[in-house]
Amino acid sequence: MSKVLIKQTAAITALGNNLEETWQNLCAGKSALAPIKRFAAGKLEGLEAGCVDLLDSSSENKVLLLLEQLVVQLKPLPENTFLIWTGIKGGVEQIENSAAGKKILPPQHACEYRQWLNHKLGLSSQGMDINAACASSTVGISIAADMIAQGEADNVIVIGADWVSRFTFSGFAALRALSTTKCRPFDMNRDGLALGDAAAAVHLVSEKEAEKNNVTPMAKVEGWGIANDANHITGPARDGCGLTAAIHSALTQAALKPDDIVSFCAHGTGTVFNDAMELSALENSFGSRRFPLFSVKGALGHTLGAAGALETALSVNVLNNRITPPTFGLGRPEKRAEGRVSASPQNVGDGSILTTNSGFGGINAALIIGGIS
Amino acid sequence: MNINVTGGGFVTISGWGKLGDKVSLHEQNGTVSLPEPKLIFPEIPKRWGRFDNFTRMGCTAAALALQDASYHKNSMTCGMVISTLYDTIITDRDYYQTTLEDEGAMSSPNLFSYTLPVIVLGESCVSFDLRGPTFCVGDHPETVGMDALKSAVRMIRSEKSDRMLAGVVENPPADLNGCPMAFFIVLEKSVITSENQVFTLKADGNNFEFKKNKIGSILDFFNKD
Repeated sequence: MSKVLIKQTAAITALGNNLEETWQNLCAGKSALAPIKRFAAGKLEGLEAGCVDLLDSSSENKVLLLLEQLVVQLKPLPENTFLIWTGIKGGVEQIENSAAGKKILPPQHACEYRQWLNHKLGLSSQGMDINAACASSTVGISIAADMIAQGEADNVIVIGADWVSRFTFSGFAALRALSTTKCRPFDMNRDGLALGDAAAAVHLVSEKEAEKNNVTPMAKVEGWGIANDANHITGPARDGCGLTAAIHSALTQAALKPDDIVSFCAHGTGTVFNDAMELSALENSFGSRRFPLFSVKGALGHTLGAAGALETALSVNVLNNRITPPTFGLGRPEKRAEGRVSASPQNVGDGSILTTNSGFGGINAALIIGGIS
Repeated sequence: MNINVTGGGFVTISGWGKLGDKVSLHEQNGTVSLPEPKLIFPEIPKRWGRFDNFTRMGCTAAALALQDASYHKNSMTCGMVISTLYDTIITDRDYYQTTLEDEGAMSSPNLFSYTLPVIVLGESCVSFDLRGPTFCVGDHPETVGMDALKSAVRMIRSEKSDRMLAGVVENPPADLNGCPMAFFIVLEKSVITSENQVFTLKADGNNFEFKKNKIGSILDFFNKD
């Protein structure tokens, strides 16, 4: 099996026009969340979102606007690079425009966004689209890593993008999943999530490809796991069984012991049930051991199909800077999160980082990212 | 690598059935006929009455495939991959209509819950206690279901799951050309429970052979009329 190396990462978020700016602002304790102005939301049970200003000042296709900003950050890719597209709800812009009597702005289907990206990046491979709800790009990176490990491909890029649409905001509001105050992951008084705009990319290469092109990798993907909790379509299993299984699968593949994990980039949406489920899975997998846990969703919002790629990219920065960003919004941690989560940056020791995402349909996905010695 | 095909299920406009049954895809317009859920599910899914058509079709075809494979819960991990091109677009449109009155205050939480194709996975996993890898992939009209098949085989090959359901679910709106249907097959690394004849899928890279025929679409596993 080939090693799976991370060659490059990129992102655009409400906190920065690129990954470095996003990282610096996160570490400085800034948040992009603000009351939503993009559409009338006064009667919806939700308040804030992390919006990229550019999307509000243009009438162009929102996801393509994000992707335009993302692709210019990427170094050239080999023509045979396999593209995995993980945006999940970009196409609802057509539904919104149609209902408002506005011009329809394609693309509509997932495959059309992938085709646009293939053209823009000069790729000849057909690629594939993955939808695993909020775990889409985590699953996408898992598939990409598997393709490289099994020798199916030498270059795979995973790209996800989603935006705060009226469709999605009203839906999460109807489910009463949005915070009506402030998104506070792992806080004892947390009351829901906030949504965010983002696009993110993670480019994986085989060891052979890295050696051939004299590439210095940023990090490596050591293990991955995907599991369903068979509990409910929109609610996680309280005991964290699905996420525990995904973490176990990733640890087994990485041939690592639980003690080798030194930091955890959690899904951390700020909903009561998600964060409690993650703490259960953490305890199931690592016992009572305390090590730095963080969530970026109190600062960036939940970026849906981009979340896993964005958080993987940030996890690479955690490994290479030996520090986690603060968990913005945290006031008083929930009891089981005490000694794990912090409103300040936390130092990280030698070892690997675990990053996970969970989504509707009972899907849980885990990645273990290791540094390059 | 050889993988066992232990069952299959489908629903189309012309009817429903299992792996060895005749399938007709000549009818392009109309509604898909489904069997009574009590005939194919261990228990009627709790939210069956709330399911959208996409979810009903997908869960029914998956249940038929698992029934055909004599599935019962055991120590084998079972996952599920779905290909879809048209996604949940009908439900997306229906949901958005509910947001248009009173500035969205009457938006339907139930319809919103069904605006992702992964909900077919979630409902099937709840009904059959499936706990392996689950996700959806985009489909290509010329190679229906092949990305799901490849992904499912990849999960077995890399030992992430012992058994996988792979299939396609489509419920296109009338203004987009397409045929409503759902097809699933059950793939197993080693056979434990099947009481039926088991066939072998030869998987060599991205080339697949079943009953000595090259597989170019997941529909090729079925007995097409």
